[in-house]
Amino acid sequence: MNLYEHHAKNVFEQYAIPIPNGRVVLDEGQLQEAYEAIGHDRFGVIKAQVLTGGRGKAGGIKVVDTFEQAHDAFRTIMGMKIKNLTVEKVLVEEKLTIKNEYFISVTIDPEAQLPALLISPKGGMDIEEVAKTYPEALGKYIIAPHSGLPSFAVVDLLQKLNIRRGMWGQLIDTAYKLYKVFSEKEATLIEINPLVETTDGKLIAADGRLNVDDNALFRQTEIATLKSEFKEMVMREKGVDYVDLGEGEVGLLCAGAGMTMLTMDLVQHLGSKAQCFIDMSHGVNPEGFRAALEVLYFDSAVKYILLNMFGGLTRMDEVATALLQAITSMGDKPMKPMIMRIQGTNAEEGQKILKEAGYEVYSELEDTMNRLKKMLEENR
Amino acid sequence: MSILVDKNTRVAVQGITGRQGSFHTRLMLEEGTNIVAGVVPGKGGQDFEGIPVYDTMLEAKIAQDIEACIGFVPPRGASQSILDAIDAGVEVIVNVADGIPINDMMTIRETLKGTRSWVIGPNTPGLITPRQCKLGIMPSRAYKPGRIGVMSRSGSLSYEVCDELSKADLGQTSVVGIGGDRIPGTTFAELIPLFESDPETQGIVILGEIGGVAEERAASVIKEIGTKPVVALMGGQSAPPGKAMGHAGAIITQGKGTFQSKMEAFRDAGVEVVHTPKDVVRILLDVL
Repeated sequence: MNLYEHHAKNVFEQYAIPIPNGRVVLDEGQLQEAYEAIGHDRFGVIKAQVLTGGRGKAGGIKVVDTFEQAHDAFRTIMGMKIKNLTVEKVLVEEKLTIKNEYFISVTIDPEAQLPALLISPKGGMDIEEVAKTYPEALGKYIIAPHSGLPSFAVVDLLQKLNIRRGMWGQLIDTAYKLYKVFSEKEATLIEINPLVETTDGKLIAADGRLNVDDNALFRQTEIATLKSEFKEMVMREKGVDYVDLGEGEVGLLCAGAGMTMLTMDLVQHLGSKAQCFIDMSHGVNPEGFRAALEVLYFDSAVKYILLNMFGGLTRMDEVATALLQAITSMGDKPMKPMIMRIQGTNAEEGQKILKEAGYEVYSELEDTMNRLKKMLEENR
Repeated sequence: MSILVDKNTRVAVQGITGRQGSFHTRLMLEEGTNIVAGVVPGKGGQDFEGIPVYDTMLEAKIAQDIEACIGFVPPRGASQSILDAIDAGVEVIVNVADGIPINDMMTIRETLKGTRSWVIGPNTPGLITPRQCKLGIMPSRAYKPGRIGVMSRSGSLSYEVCDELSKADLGQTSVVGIGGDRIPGTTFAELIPLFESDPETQGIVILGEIGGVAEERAASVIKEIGTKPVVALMGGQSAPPGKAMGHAGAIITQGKGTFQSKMEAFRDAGVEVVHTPKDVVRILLDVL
């Protein structure tokens, strides 16, 4: 589960990692309160709360001097779309006087499959860009399991990165606290970018990311209370794995992550794109299908629905019946054009049920994709 | 021949008396699996349809010389059941649980060092040598004894591909699901030498996906020791970075784990990369 910036900062605060004075703002009344609370002289930065990078470039972060400017910025940002995500809340913070910007993060290293501490003096940039353009400016230390993060390892990184000695104390402290959050909250990623050094020499977390291992939420009860804020988490409770891809026209309704990914790629090979990824593996029942159809019907970007399922232990006749039940509970027929392919255990029976109800059903993947291709061409 | 397990492998089922455990134990027996024990803490001394049940894996190992086991234990307790089996010295440990925390898997990988055990999974349909030994929840009808070794990060994709291999009469020697999590117990790279040295395996299929470096590592092992034709099919070419695609492990992080990088590594190692399950079969029929 990937948390919003303001959630991450709340956790930082619990661990005494300094954050800017700020508030979450949902309406104009709260904006006024934030203006008073933060103080007129330090006001302010307005930041869209969305879970994607490139907020600044998209116009989702604005620095303002007066309340009028703040008001305008708030009205522009609220409701705006950043990579298909609608901004539903903003974080309003004090302005910082920036001397330097650092990057610091603890994440699971994809190669070592262990936690890694990453530090760079080139904060404020996209860190993948830094890794590519200035590889010498990114320091990494792999943290051995059960031995924690030793301070000498951090010192070694700071030395190699030529970071001014005066900042070492605060950076070591931040690294230590970050790793503490990472292990105690069972994170997969914790990141501060930029970690701002102010003109008076203090380090403050100007931004924050915290992603927590979904599989650990059963014992991370405090973080788990935030689940209801995320559509993908709510869907998962119903056994439906949903990913908003955000820039396509085909809604995928499949079973199994691998199968869904393959279908997504085949859609792209046709010159189109999938808008959302729905893996029904744990939810092939009328309730699960209903939850999935609700998403597919109400996401206006979805123009076509593509169902592709291979029944292993799941019987496809039961799948067909559950799907029909879900469809008819929401109307006489699907609200959008739907192509179906079912194969595997009891596929013939399942196909028969769907055909009798008047649907186009295929058994071969190639025929299904050809049908989708034709449909896409007809509507171009 | 096969890898890891065959018809003689002595198997224990962890959680044999549970709903899932008992259901799948019957299906595994139908496939020919030599199940000789169950392990359920608190139910030692009882039996499940004539199969003796023990409280711990160590007791089962002492009494029945267990060589392989499969766990049907909910995710919260799954890591404990894996550690129990490693501790008892079981060689092949399969776990199908979907939802083991990453922290627990890091502990398991650490515990495995210096042991002779293999942990297959988690978040996998398991491991099968068709008509000899099934340690998993895959649909038996998709499999047929044959000459192709299959490894997969995805259950659904492996069912479809194995079904195609069976229909084309190529069949499978053994099929191993390494699972969809970020930290699997066993990787592709570790399995390649086993398929390479199995005389009946004539070709290898790798079903990969974006995220991590399992495919890149596999490619470098193939480059070094590979003698058999390898075909790879991978999901997630069109996935945006930073989002997990259904599997926790199918995520591009820090610029690592892209489709492009995997495809290049495979091609460099002489592995044929294809885009559909049918193409996997076409290529194998061509070269074999």
